[in-house]
Amino acid sequence: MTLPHQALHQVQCRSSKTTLLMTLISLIAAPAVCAENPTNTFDAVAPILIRHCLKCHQGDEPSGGLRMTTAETFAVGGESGEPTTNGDLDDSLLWEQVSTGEMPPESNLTDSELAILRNWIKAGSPWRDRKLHLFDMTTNERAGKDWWSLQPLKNPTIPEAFKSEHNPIDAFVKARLRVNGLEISPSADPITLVRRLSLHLHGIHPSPATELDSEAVEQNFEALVATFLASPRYGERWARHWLDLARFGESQGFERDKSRPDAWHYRDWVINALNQDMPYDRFAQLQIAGDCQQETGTEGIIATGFLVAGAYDEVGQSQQSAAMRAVVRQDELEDYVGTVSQTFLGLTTNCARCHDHKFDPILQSEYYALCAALDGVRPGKREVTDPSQIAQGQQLAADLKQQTANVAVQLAELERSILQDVKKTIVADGKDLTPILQPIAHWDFELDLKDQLGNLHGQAHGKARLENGMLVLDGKDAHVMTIPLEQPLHEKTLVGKVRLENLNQGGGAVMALLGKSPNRFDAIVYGEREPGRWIAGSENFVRTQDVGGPPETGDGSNPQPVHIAITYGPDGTISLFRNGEPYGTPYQKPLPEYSVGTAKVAFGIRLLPVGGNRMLTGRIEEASLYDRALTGMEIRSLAKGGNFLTNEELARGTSAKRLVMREGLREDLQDLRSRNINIQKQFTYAVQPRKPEPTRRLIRGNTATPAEVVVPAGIASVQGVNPDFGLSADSPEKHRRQMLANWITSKHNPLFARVIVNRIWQHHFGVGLVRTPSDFGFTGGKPSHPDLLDYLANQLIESGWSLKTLHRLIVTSKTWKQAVTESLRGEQIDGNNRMLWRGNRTRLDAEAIRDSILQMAGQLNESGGGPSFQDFKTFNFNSQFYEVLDREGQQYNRRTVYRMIIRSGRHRLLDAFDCPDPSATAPKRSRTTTPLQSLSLMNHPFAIRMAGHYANRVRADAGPNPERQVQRAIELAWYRSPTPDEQKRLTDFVRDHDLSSLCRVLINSNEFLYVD
Amino acid sequence: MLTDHRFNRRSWFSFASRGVGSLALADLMSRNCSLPAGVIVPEAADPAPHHQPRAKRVIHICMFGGLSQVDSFDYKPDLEKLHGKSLSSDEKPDVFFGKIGLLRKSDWKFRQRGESGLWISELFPHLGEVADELTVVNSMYAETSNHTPATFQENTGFRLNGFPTFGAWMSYGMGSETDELPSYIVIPDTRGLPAGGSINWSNGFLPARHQGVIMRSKGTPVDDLFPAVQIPESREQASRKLLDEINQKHLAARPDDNELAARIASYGLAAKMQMAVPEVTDLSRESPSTHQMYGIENPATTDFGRSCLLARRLLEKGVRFVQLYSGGAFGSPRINWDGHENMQNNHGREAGRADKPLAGLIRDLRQRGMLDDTIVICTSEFGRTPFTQSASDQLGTGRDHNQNGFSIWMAGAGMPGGRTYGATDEIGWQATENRTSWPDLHANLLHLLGINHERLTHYHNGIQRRLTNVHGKLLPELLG
Repeated sequence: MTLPHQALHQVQCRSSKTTLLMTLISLIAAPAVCAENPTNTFDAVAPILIRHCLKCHQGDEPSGGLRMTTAETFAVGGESGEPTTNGDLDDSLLWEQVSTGEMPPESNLTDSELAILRNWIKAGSPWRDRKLHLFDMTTNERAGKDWWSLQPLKNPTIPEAFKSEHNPIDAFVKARLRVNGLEISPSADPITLVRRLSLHLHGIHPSPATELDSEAVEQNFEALVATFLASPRYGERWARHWLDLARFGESQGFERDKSRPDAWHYRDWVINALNQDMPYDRFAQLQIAGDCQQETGTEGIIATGFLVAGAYDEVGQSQQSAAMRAVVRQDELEDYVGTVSQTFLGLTTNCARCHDHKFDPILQSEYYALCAALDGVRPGKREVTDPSQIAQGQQLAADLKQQTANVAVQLAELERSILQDVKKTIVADGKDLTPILQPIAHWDFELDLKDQLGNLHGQAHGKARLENGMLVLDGKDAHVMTIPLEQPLHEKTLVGKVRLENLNQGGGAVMALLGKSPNRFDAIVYGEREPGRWIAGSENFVRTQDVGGPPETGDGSNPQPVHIAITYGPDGTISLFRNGEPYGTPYQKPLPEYSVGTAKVAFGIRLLPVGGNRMLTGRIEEASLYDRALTGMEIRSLAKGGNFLTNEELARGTSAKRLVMREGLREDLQDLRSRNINIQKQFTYAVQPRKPEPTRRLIRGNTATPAEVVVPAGIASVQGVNPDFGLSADSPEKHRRQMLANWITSKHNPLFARVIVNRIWQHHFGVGLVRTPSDFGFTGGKPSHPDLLDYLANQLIESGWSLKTLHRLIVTSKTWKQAVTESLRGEQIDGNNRMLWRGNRTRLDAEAIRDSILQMAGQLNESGGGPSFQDFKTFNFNSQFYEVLDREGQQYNRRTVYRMIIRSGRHRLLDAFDCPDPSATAPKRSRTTTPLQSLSLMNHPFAIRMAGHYANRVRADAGPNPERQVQRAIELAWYRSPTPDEQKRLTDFVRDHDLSSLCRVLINSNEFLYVD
Repeated sequence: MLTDHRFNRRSWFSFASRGVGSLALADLMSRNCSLPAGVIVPEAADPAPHHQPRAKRVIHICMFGGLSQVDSFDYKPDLEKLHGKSLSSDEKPDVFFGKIGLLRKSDWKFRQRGESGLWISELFPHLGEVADELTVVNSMYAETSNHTPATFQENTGFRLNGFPTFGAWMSYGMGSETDELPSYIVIPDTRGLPAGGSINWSNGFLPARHQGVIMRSKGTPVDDLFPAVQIPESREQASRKLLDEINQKHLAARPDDNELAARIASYGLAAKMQMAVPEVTDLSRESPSTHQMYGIENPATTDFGRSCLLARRLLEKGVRFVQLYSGGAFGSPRINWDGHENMQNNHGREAGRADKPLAGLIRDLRQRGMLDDTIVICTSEFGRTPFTQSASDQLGTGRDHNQNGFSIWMAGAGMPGGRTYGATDEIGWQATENRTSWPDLHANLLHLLGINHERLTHYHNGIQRRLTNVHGKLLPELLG
């Protein structure tokens, strides 16, 4: 149980009080105990106390009430009394406990440790001015601040003996192999290398277009690598690895499992960012705090989809119990904190939700400090319409408005001048009437319900009928509806002449214009708000005012016709007229639009549905609809029995040229008004931040037992970066995440670079330099090549965080190019190939299998980006249910990364090949071999269907000759020509059976599924 | 040209069935155990048994939606006295829908059943006939009264998505006694899947092969068992032969790779499964009296009866864990035990479907001698409130979710039946005596299976994960 010296030498003293640990190290290094020097005895005993005692004897609830962290608390002692008194060994409770083996309970002290303790007690248990902490050093049970991964990056030099290696990776790997008596294996053959390259960088077999000329590959390997890295397939592949980490799903999970149709923006963002080789630090910053800065725009918002990509308990968040909602919220925070710290730092901080981390130097309060940093995070739908698109749309709308206004003015001027012309002829005819241009529709109800001018013909409903040239309405269900408008309507005039048979009625309308958008209407309404008075009725009275006109009077026995008109001016002025005279005071309201094809005119009803007080009792003599606001003069004229101009009168009164001009302008105006500048709004599922609440540490993680307030901060044990964000408990949301992002992505944060280098390495070699890619803590592992890891981490930073540069370095190394050789010596010394003495065989993962089959069958749809394809049937039964199907069609033949990932609707072919549960972050996929896998690949409708397409493609490429078909089929699956034996055997098979059966076999073959 | 590799292949079955990569295989080889063909060895690093097991298989009936304890197994005479009165408690119940109506007695009469005199209500008349086989736990409590997280907890110990279920852990820790069928099979309610679908039988972070496989008691039993289109038998055989030959040749150049060999063998296993599934799902092979015992001849009980009989046949074949759902999704009309509106209608209908088949299942297992080493366990994600879900001065007809106290029952595994364990307060609201959590229950079930719940672990993102997290206590009194 001695402390490894290695670990001790790494101890760093950051805390201002802990200046003496360095001294301590030198003491341990020279273990001769200097009993006579009191401070020295403490330096010797401190590691023993940390290693064996502090696990229980520190913190808020120390065991037995004894806290052994400072001189004071130690001296005070615990429930059983003081541990030592005056250097008397016999009187020392501590000595009694340790010498009898009572303490420590789960381990035994060595003789030398006991000796050190005895000397210390005898020396009067001196204590330096220092607070001991369990995290001060790594023990054999847990990591301390001196744990390897928390130390700043070293600057390893390339091993001397291999300085001449072209690629530094090879120097580090060879050096390690030589120490162990092993050597690097020769390079795999060029075709295998291309297959490997394609699989690693693109996640799919090489496309048939890729040149597979061995010599060319050998000579131009670097150029080939550059081509592969430049292809958009690279981003599609590596985004998939990242989405595994992000527990990215496109449905909520839990009970309801609603889909998230907008979540794909995040997936596309990841793909694009990787393809553009976005610096990794920025890649991380945007995902944590992309929306915290103005200048990152919509891209920054989309990137935060990372934080909320996991499952969301909608029912849990809406339950009645506030206490239970609080628990659900804490679960969410654990998901956020855990995902962020595991993904970027390889730290399992979420293990400190209920107590200090059991294995790593992370305090429970530090977990809550991270919660505080992320407390404003909530999922939601955010608009991410491209700002330039918005600006463009606004400009277009302004232009249109101006243009419309210009035409309207022209038209008005022209009409005024036409009317002046006409007036002259009328005066010449000896009539004294105001000339009025025609309405767009007029109903006289003489013989039918037809529009006498245009096509807005009406249809009777209920008991509506015509009698003596009037439309008779019974106030119950009788009404008339026209066909939809043929031109858009803005300013307008409604005119009706009606005989009310019951003056006490209220709410019915003579005439109404009914829009489509929920219940919009403008109508001539009688007696709805005040008995006997007219109003301009509208939905929820938004354009209605009591104008103060007089009520209708009389006993209704001999109803007189009332001429009633309402004008809606271009500026929104609404004026009522009764029998040609202004009725009450005009007022102004925003002018609504009624559009072509949806809005209708109605008589006798205010708005649908039929019934209630919406129906009018009375007789309508005539009605008109104008597409302009008539003047008072015009209305007075109409009320007095004057008519609008007939076409003949108009033709007589003015020149044909002017009338043509007028028609032209009217058409222009209609055309302009029917144009809509629609800005297609885009939304994404991302962080919808809310004001954070002060965060409290929760004792045992229990929401019912909150402790002290915690401010947003980082983890103090991570060396090289300051965990203090300088933020208060009520600091603004954006500052919190921004500071967190800064702390995480600092080039001085040693975990940030190491963790991503290791992830990239893992996907190229099957295993990382550290085997546990999301856990660089004590339960994780130590790196197989620590110097190489730090070297690559430094390289990454120096390259400006360019991941593509790192890929290039890896795949051009001899280490990566090694063949999958078999060597007894290698097996004996390093059976797991941790030292990399040979290549590792790779099995295609689920996505690569599906994508490669599609490609081989000539069915791959290479279009990238945009909404996910949905290969399922879905229905709602309170919750959303999904039935995954094998769907045919080009849109379903896109790469698997574009498939909509539903948490409750898993894909059995993909699952069989170890596609992870999308609800859990998956830094490393398992790789299993099962009979269900074989059944799926043999029998799943997709496999059978694709075998058919594959066969068709082979026929198209090779023609009818079976020998050439076999040749082609093998080339497509295995990237080589068949051997003579194979050629014969397979050709016989095709002759005896059929080509698609051969294709089905090849899809299932190990040579297709594995790449050496 | 084709060599007969059948013998060689057989020797690979045990490796193949582990369904793991070469690392684990190497590990297995180093342990140098020789294993009989036809068994799937466990994948866990510290596999079962850790002690003498009392059972080797489990059938889990999931009564989805929330079975009311006070209407079924938790007899509360005081509740009868308090019928129509309001709850007199200092503690305001924190219930899911926030409505606390008047207390309501059971809608079914309780009777003492069997020689043991176990109290069971008339909701389950047939189960009452096998009362002496049952161990009822009346002191369960859950962490949440929200269906889905509660169901996750029932199955995984955690409230969240993404954790392995009991069946997945069992498959991982115990392997299987057959390589002809998946070790973990889920039989959903014929009316529909539960909310959350496959999340409810996820492998979580365990390797994918431990995910529950759906087997239907109606329609196509297992997906992809046979080609999606008809393929002539001779062609199918020739294709398999060719595949084997091609793969063997590929392997011959890479003789050290166990994974490649395992993959070849997996096609042999797949063929075995193709034989086994049609046979095991063919319920017509059972006698009319067996059908009768499960209520299959009666339209009301035929669906669940078939599911129960299928479950028994699967267990007989060596499947480790069969999960049977009584109840599907939440929606309208309700097709599960979520009796918010009217208990009589809801529970009456659901029990009418399940009661007789369940009694038949227990009888059948007993008569076949299987009950001794099988655990039958019937659970609900939580119980229901003793007060109705209505205005505070109203006596409603439905009950809300109750996480604070509810009942489950078990049978088999040598547990002396006719017993109850733990108790709730006088109205059946909160567990008071021998409070039992899901992790406690899981730990005890694992114990019966010869597994120390603290030793069945899997490393995931920094933690040696356990089914029981950091909880779970053994309850010798419960296990008998």
